[in-house]
Amino acid sequence: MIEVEGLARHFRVSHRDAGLGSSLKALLHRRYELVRAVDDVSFRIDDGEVVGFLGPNGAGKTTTLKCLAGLLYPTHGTVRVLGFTPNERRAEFLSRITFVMGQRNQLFWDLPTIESLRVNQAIYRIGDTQFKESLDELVDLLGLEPLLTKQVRMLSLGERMRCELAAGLLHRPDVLFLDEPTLGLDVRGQGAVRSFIAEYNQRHGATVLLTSHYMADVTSLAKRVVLIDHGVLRYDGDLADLVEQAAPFRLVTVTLSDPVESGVFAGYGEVIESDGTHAVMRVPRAATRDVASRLLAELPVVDVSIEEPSIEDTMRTVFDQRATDAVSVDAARE
Amino acid sequence: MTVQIRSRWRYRRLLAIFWRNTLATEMEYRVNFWSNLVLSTFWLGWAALGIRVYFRFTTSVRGWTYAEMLIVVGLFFALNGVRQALITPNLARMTEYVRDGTLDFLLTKPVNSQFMVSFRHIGVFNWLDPVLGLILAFTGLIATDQPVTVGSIALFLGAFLCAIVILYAVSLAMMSLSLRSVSSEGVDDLLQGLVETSRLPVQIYRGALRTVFSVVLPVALFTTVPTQVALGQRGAAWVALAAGVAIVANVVASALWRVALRGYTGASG
Repeated sequence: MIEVEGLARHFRVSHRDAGLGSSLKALLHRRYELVRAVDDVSFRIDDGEVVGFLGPNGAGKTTTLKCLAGLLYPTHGTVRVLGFTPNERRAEFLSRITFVMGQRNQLFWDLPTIESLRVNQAIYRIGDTQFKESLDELVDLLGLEPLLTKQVRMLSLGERMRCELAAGLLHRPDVLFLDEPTLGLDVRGQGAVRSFIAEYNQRHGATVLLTSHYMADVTSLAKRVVLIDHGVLRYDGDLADLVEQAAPFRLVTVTLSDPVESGVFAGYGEVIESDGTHAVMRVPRAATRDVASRLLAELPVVDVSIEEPSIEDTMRTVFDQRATDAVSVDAARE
Repeated sequence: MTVQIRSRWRYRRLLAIFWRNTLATEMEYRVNFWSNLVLSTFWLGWAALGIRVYFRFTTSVRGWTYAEMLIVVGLFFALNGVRQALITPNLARMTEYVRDGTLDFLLTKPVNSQFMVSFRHIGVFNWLDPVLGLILAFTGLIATDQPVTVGSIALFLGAFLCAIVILYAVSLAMMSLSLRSVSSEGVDDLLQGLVETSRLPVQIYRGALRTVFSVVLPVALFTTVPTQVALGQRGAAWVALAAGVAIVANVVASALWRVALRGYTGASG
């Protein structure tokens, strides 16, 4: 169980203008700014839940995860994970969690993967029988067999990420903090990581808190999402509701063999961009199928595709909406 | 108690794994072993011959004979070797640990973080220097015609061990400071500079500098005091004093490390 109450983490960040003069000035006097990376965030996650943690870059997702994993001391507020206060970094607590970061490396670069796993066996005091059992399971789920004896630096990014996950989960943690675990992976790599996380959650009932920029990661794994922006919690609830609410449309992209007048596209949906033979339109969710068949029937279509709006777009819609709401509430008060 | 024993056993096992891994990595570069052997022997010979110059027209410099001075030089060489073998490989990685987020991983492990940053790597081939340095020190000791007993050797090695432990504490304190500045490159140079000052006995320095090296900085405890202990000029009380300084220095350095971690803000992103 994870309980976060009024969590805030502020950083003091120094500023310096470009140029040598400013560098010299900064030696004597530095300008500091207080950055509220996380400000008054509260939520609760039950055992076994998978929660997607979303927000644009710099929103405060990683900072929140780091506070939960005990890496950062909160400026204010309280955090409890599995009944522990994370920043005390007690061994009993650390043995029951894992923190996996995409594109960060905990494996020994020059050695075969199995050596890093042996190190973690010693760190987490895993007995030989349990080690073998756990390793067999991970080898099976992640397809590690051919990778164990390869030097880490020889692995592809996708292979390395699978090995990273194995290193992070060897001790069978109850809580998983996954920060962008699919970052930079190709579609197959993303799929492998995703299905592994889902399977691990099912088998061991682990709680998973995951951040990602890929909509598919979140939609396939988490029912519940927590949205954070500028360090403030914007939404906490069902993913389906959020997408319905914030982005009640899909993106239809169409390519034609012959150009048509630009006004034509407006008859099918809200045009985002168009150049005669190519157009991207926003079409209400319910009408997508209908619009696609009309396009095929009425225009010289070469290609048509229907996509979910990107997570960034959906979030932007939510954040813009909330900002407008906040302004109108303020205006009403005055 | 059992927990403590198990825990100690685990740290020993971890150390064995870490060092075996470093060995496995370094073995790929066999030529390093031979070049290190040649270079170390050269520098040791250079250091021993270098101080010979002082003794061309005299048999004693500020109360130190050539043979006695060889002990100091040998100890300096050994201590500097320990620095290169044990401290530098870890200290130099601190910047990397912070920048690439490795420290984040190390901190989420249920193992003492100070242990993790201090002993994960060793300079495999740098262990030649301590061996060669100690050989030179013992050669000097025999050349002094002082009676060498088991007791005097034990005290001498005890004093040298304290010197290593003090040097570790200084490096940990520096490592803690580098957590803040996110740069440990200069820190290792500073540590090397500190060790370099122990190349000669503190009595060679004059006035304020000698006071600084004897009282403020632990330079005298690095090589001068262990040598004097070996020569029977100073007794067990001095080894006890060195042990006391080593303990206090480590307690302070550990506290500094914990404070630094509290303020650690991590690699961003």
